Amino acid sequence: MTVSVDWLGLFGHFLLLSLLAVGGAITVVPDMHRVLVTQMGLLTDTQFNASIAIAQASPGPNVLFVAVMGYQAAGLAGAAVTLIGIMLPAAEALCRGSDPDERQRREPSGRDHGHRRGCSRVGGCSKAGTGSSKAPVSPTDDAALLPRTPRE
Amino acid sequence: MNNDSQGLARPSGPKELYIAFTTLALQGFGGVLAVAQRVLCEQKRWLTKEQFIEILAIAQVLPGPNVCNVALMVGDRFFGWRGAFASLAGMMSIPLVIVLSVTTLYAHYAMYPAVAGALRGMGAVAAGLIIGTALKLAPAMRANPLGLYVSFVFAALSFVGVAILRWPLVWVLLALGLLACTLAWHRLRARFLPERQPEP
Repeated sequence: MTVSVDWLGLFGHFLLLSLLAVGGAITVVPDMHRVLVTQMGLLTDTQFNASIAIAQASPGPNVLFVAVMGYQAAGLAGAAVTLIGIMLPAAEALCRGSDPDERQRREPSGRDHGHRRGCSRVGGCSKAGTGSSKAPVSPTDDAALLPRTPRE
Repeated sequence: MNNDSQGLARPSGPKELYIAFTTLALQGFGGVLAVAQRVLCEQKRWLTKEQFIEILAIAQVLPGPNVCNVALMVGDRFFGWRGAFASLAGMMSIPLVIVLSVTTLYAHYAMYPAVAGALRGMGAVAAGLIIGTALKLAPAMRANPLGLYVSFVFAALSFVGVAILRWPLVWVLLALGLLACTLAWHRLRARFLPERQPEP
């Protein structure tokens, strides 16, 4: 491929898309198309489609379609740039997750606490919003409110 | 760490993690998560089904591809960052070699109509899978404070912005996401407020 590649732009874009890819890398495919095909002109439509099709049909995780796109656009270096870009934020999140406190908070037993805390925060927000903070709202109040919430 | 659930085994080291993740990745055509559950919970008995589901739930919320997150978290659970790296490498390395070899082959034979047709068909299947995932997620919107219809309006707006107007995904997500969050917050507030009014 003789097209000159904006390596930093390519890497940065996949890094960004990784952060947006809640629910799987496949959810950000339209934006990859926008950048790789329309904007950078590194791939043709056919090559783009083939990237996803090849990764789906091959053994292994489907995220590898990202590497196939990079490979078709700019060879092995391209594959490395796109794949590392899409995986780096996950590795970063892992470093945070290795923190024992964080892990403690994730345990199922701790989830109930988190939920209740979230509710009391909502109560706090509404109180601040009205400005009528006469009645002191205790966390137990919020807990009592909880079963009544389905009322629309 | 895993003495909380009895009857569970433990990988002997990062090397075993690497091999396990390589074998499970190679069994997975069109997605490895289902295979991962079978291997990790039933064959290896490293995790209970509940633990796996919990890991999967977190993996979906964290940034990055879900399978990578699952591999990292499972590896990290047993051997810290060394385990995480071994699992991720196991999940990716051999499949990467395979998929790039297939791509090279494809580049050689792309001019044959049969190859092009087969890949176009696979592309259609992939598109169908994505739409299917979206439909599967839709019922959860009923429990959302925005309600089903407003959620669909947001979904439609995102589609128009990304697929038809071709706007950058970041801006579409930031704008619509902020709007949706603000709206949801107002609804939640309205839901809690009337309960409090009669008190004074």
